[in-house]
Amino acid sequence: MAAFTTTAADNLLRQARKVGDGELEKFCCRARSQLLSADVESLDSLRRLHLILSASRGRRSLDSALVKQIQEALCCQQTSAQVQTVCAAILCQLCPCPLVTVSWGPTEQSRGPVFSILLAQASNSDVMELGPRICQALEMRAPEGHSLRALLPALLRVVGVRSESLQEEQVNTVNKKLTDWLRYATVPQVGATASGGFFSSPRVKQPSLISEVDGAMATDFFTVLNHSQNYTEDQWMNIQGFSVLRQWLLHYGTNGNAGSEDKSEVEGSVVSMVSASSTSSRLLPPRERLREKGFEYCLRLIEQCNRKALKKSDVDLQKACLVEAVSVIDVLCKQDVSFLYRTLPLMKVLHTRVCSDPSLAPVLLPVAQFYLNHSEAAAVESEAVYRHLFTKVPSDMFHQPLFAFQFVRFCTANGSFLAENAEAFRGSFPSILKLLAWHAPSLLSDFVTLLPMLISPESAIEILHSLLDLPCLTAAMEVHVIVASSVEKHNLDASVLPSSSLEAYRHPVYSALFHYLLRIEAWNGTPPEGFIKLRQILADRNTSPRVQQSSQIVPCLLQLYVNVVSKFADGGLVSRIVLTFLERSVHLYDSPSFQAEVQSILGAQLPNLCRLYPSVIVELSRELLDFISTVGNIQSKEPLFAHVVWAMGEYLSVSYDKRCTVEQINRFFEVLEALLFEITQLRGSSSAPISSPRVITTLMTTLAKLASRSQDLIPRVSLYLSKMRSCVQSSAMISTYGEEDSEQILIRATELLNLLKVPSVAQFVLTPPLEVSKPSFHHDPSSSLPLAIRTSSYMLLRERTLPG
Amino acid sequence: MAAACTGSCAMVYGFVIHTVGPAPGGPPCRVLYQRVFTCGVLDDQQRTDDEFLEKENVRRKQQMAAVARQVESRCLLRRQVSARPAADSEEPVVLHEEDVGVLGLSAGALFPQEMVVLWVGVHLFGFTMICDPQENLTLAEMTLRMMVKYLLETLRLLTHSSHAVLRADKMELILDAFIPQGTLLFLSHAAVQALEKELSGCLTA
Repeated sequence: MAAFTTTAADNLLRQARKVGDGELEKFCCRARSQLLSADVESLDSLRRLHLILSASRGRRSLDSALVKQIQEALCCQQTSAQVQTVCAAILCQLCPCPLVTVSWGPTEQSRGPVFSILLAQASNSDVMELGPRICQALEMRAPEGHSLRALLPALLRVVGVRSESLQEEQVNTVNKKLTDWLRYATVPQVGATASGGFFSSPRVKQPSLISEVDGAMATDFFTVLNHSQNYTEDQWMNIQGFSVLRQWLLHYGTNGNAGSEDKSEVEGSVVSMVSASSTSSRLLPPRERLREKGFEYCLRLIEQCNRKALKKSDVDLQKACLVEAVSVIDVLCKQDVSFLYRTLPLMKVLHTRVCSDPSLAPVLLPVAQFYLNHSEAAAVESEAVYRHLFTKVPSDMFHQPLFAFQFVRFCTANGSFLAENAEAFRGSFPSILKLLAWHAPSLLSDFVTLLPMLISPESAIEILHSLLDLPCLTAAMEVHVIVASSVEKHNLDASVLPSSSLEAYRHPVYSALFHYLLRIEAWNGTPPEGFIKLRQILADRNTSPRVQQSSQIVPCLLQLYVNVVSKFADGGLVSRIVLTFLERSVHLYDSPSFQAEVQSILGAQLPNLCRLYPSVIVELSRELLDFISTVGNIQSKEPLFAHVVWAMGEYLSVSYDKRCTVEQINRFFEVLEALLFEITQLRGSSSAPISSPRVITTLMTTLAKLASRSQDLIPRVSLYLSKMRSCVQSSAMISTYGEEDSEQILIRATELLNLLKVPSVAQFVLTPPLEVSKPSFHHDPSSSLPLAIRTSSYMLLRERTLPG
Repeated sequence: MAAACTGSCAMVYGFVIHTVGPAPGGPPCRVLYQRVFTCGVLDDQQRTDDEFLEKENVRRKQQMAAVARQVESRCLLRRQVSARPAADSEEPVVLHEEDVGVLGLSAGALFPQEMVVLWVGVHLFGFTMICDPQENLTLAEMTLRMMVKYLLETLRLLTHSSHAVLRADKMELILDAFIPQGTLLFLSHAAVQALEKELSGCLTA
């Protein structure tokens, strides 16, 4: 295979950047003389000049004489199209620049490159003048050989930045022109012989043959979905006209966007109400007439999309035309409600057709948008449209990047409306999540907006599970795709358990589990029995790049999840979320880095949840104690473990929950004490893995906190802490933990020990009253907090400087 | 710096051809060709301020380069997951589903307004079209695919990468024909052929 490189381009770029000012000056000199003598080499020089300008990171200045010469060459009729174009490209590179003074008037030949420069110059006055001039040129009869094709795109650019630059009169000129191009482009009469004859002027082109995309003769007026053997100027304008129609209507479809003083015009919708029944649309004002003809054009396009196109590119064009036609009709219905009643039956038929053809999926989005915008006004049922869109479509179309993107964009744009009005939207979050599972990197940022719209109090727990299982979902989708695309049929022995995820997909034991994972609607219940098995067998895909990409985004989504639920969660929900954290921390997709990252984010988010509802510690005391008593959890889930222990010390207090009893505190104390004993005294010498100093210090602090609330425990914890101090100074401990960490443990033990010597200070520092965060607590120097801080720091300091 | 005011218009904002994947010893993503179709309108005071104009000129280039870098990283991530073997240079270019991608830029990220970036990655080249989010993306995708194939065939970019930097005239003529001033056109197969025929008349040298 020939290896492609970009070396040649890279070298040219590098050389172009190195060109010094002196060298550039010489180069310009040569280009000037070449231009003067109309040298054939001049094209090459100009190309190089363009490269120098475009490659430089800053702006390079050219001498004004050359700029002038380039502008002359651009405007000269004799210059070849290629030289003209490269001249324009050079000037565009310089823009915005005072040296560039290209101008254009309505009687001059309209050329794209000139407009490009005027637009690149970005001068306010130029732009304000350009729009009206283009309208004038459109209105005039184009001189022989002048093409109008450059005008409309440039005009749309102008109105894009300065829509007020056109007056009502000019808008109407364009309205009339667009109507004519859309509706009355050249179509030869069937059966008529070539027009003219002996006396006809030779410059009248023979009307060319017009056909439909399936090869049949054209039956009605010309549209973008017709083929012409020899495109005429008005057919090109027809194509351009439809291409800019939606945007034009958005700018000028209703009164008021043009800079007009005349506001006395009849209200548009009233006139069109009449037009709906009237056949003579010629009597309508230009704006309403354009709407009417635009509508007819869209109807014809939709009808033309039923034809079977012969060329692949025309199949794509039909799709794009359907999208556009529906969007244009949507705009028209917004601007004039009378179109709505003419559209509804059509939209229903179109929806049925689009649903039956998966390749037309992109059209579903504008159709759904249409229902979203108008179903209320038209009093039509739209839930079925949404249900199909949200449940089935993402599951079928997830692999198409562009569709996935548009789908998510549709959801985010309409999310708040859908969450309120379309039950199917939130109910089909498993289906919508498939898009994210498949396109994790590219959809993440949009999902950050979408996820909050999907989460409701009812679905919160199921969504949490789904987020934690996102890599499993990606893996299952990959398996599904591989199995669906493989032709070979496996004869499975149902009695033998599968050894790989691919085998499992067809295995009866796993099929219900796959069905659950790949569900399209909310499950509203506990996962099926044995779901863990599926998670385990899918682990054979944990090296797949797609699975890895999706597992990398889970921590960020979990963080977002907690932020979102914090806004509405009540105590019950917080308890269930914390419980899910504890349960799921053991059951995560088998990929080491994924497990570690998720556990650390679960740990980091736990304090936020506890802060929201401190009673969770009392309510879940049994589950929390079970969790920390499992010694394995210390090793494998240290971040979560440390945060659970911290939360116990912080929130197991009567000031947070009146139900908290001394017995409860004592029970927690005993479990934690036994745990600390186990990991320090027993394991210090054995070969068992060591716990991190963070866990040890957190445990010690939590014990001290609990003791400060149940003061009978103070002698016990003090004794323990003194033992801890001597233990941590032993050579065995130092060799296990290293000098620095042992030192830190020692310092913490000493601090706590000193604090506990004055129980009232200990209580104040370790269990501060709830008002401690209020500013008034910190203002008054004689209030207890500053005093307590001074006292305790004095004690701690003294102890530190005089050890023992 | 006062950002230039830009209006919304459902059109193509810019087109960039850039490299995908690092060159040995070179910077990661090089912009080979860029075309901006519209820019903000500057007020009269800004237009006389040379320092401002210089900055504006540099800013436009930097925006394009930043888009190209984002596209490159997306394209490389996509290639990781698709793992399709590189096609032979002799074969005609076939664009697969996974060679085309899209990314959204939120308002204020690189441009003052929201943008949608469509890209096609072919070997070491990325072709990127920056559109307004209101644009018909189905049309945008089909236009981009069609133009990429035409550019690759006419300019033989895969074997002559220098053409990407040294044939600005041809690039501009092609863009002017297929997306005049950034307007996406509904072009049927026959219309594309007619435009290609017109182009072949101008693209001589």
